[in-house]
Amino acid sequence: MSSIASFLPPPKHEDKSESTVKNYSTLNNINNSVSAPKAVPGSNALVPSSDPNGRINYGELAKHGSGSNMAQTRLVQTSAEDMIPLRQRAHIGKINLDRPDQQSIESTVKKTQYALQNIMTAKKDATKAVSDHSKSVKPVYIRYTPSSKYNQPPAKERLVQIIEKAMDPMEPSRLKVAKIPRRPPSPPAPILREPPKPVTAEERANWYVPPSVSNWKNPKGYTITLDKRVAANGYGDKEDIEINEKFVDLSAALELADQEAREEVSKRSKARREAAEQERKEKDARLRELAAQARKAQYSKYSNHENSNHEDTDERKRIRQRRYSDDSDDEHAAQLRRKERQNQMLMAERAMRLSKMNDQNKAQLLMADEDRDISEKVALGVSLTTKLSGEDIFDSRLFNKDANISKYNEDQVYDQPLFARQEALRNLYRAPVMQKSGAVAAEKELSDIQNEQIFDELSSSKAFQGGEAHEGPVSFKKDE
Amino acid sequence: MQDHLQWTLHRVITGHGGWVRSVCVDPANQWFATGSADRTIKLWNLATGDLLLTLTGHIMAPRALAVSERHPYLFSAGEDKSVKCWDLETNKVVRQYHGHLSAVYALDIHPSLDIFATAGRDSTVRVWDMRTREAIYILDGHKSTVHALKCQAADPQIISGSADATIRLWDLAAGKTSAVLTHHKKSVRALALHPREFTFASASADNIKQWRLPEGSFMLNFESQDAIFNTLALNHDNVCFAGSDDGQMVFYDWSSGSVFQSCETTNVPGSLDSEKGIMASTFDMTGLRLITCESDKSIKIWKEIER
Repeated sequence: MSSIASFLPPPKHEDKSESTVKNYSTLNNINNSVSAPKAVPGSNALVPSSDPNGRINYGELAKHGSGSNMAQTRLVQTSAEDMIPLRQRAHIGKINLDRPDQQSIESTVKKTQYALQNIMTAKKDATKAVSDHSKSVKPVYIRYTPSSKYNQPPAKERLVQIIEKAMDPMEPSRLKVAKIPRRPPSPPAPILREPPKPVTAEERANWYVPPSVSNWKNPKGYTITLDKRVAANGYGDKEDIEINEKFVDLSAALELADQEAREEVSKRSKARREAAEQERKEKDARLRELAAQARKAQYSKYSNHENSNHEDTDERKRIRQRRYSDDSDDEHAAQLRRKERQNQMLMAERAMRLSKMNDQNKAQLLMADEDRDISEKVALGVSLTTKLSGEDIFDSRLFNKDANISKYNEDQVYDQPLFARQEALRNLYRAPVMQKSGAVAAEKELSDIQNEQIFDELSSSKAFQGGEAHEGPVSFKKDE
Repeated sequence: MQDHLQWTLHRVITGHGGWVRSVCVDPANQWFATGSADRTIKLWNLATGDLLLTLTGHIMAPRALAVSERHPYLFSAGEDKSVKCWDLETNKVVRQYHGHLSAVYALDIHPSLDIFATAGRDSTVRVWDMRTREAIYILDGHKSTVHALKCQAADPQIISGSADATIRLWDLAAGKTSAVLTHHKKSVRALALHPREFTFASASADNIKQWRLPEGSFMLNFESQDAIFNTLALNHDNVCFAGSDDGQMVFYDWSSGSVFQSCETTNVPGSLDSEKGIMASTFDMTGLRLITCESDKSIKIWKEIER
């Protein structure tokens, strides 16, 4: 029994809590001691009642509220039995599900209507509180005789007229309307459901929603690790990227088609090349034939007209003879040319040899040639690359770094921005270059600006230097 | 368990431009009205499914509709905190009931008095006098949004189900709670009164429960389903329909609480899978047609398969 008492929620309203706690304790006492308690006069402590079976009626506890007649009107389900479906309860017998008969419904409706009408009329009257002033009450006359005082003659009878004092109907009330505090709420109903189950870690994990991480905005510049970014897209690890098999088919088909097309193209180009070759050969053959024909024809011509051509050859001979005789030092020039040619041949030969030499030999040869001291390092491509052993290999990027390399940050791979230097160079202020110094330069600048010709003036004499100034369109004269 | 026929889709009505959130049937069974997130109330011919009328005036979705049996009035309550009374002879708003502090989610007309009750997100139930537009009662007690509300002539005259997982039975004459039912674990989104028996059902995400009136004793747990039920509908043949947020439709036998048919709604072609959801439902006056309002912007009418 005490379990049900503890099952009831503690009352929430404060003003009653003390007394209710008292009630609880009284009830518990009753459980322990069989002696029936008696109501203490003046106390609002609840006196438990018991049903014919001797069981204490705990419903009283939940009904014991602020309203005076609440105990009568309110139906409170307090027993554990109220949680069992009606048909499954023991000793329930036949359940009556009939609606109340028409008569009782009518009486209920009538009662309700009466109650509601009362409320409505009360509301209507409240709005009509400003009384009709037109309906003024008639004055009342009272005959009044003041009581005679001791040792004085009796007072005269007076007529008193009583009238209602004229009031400004719009005048605000002089009475201060104090707000009546709300009645404490009725005690909470006993909760007849099982308490919510505590959330398990697994359930909580299932309901966990990772904080939103934007891929576009990070105004505070927090470093966001990759796994957080992945988690933020809402799928977490559950995301299974499934690529449709048809993509594979498509790429295979494309590849096949490409291969076929290439083969076809190469075949076609090969055929075309062969055809071209054939054609060329044919053409060559034809030309050769033509040439042979022509040669033949010429030969036949020569053989035919040897005599007629004789004069012509004579003439040619004569010309040749004349040319030889003209240049007295022709022989000398020919010699020079021959020498030159030989020289060039030698040079070319040497160049070829040089080109075939390796770099080192070449450099040595060149050094010897030009009588210059060229160190091995300066000579391009001559220096022997020294082989670096394991310890000597450095990443040049590490040279200018601070010592705190241990603070490696995977999101910040680069220690310097890629284009920072260019940016800096562009933003650098450079003074305009001036060859001449001071005033001279300034003067020149000024004169330059002043003499600068923005527009070419066609009409000015300057445009046609040497010509004369003219008016109207330019006329051209014919040259004789 | 009673023998029930299977239900099948009979007609799909499109025309609304948003989630269809509320429905009510004309007492004469000639037409029905639906309210949608496109801020309109549309009246449809029940037999043919033709659009009869579009009522505009709400500035947010009408969430509850009711037609009076004794007046030519249609009452609508919206997310815009407004409760309107439409005169169906002139098709105009004749009265507005101001008072709700937040969206109004439920509305029901008292069957024999000229009052009606509304409830909503401000966790109050308000009882209005139709004629004077005054709130007779502001019944507070719920600790969260009131999703469902029913009125009846016998005590308790008002029943409300709320997101604080309680159902309250109200004594209308006194304007007080007469009982609080705390059996549900999750918010109560729908209520349904039985037309003949003195019982009602409440739908919550954990269970659908059946209760006996007037004291609200717990009668039955319906066969449990893994769904969030938005709506309940009940006909004379003891068929209890529950429509869920993910498009699941469950038909229960009222007396045993067992499922005799469970199916999913049919998507309107072109709508998304996520738009499968039943927002409101009702049987027509004969109980032979079931009207469901869905989040794919359609209204569907279901009927029993003929033997």
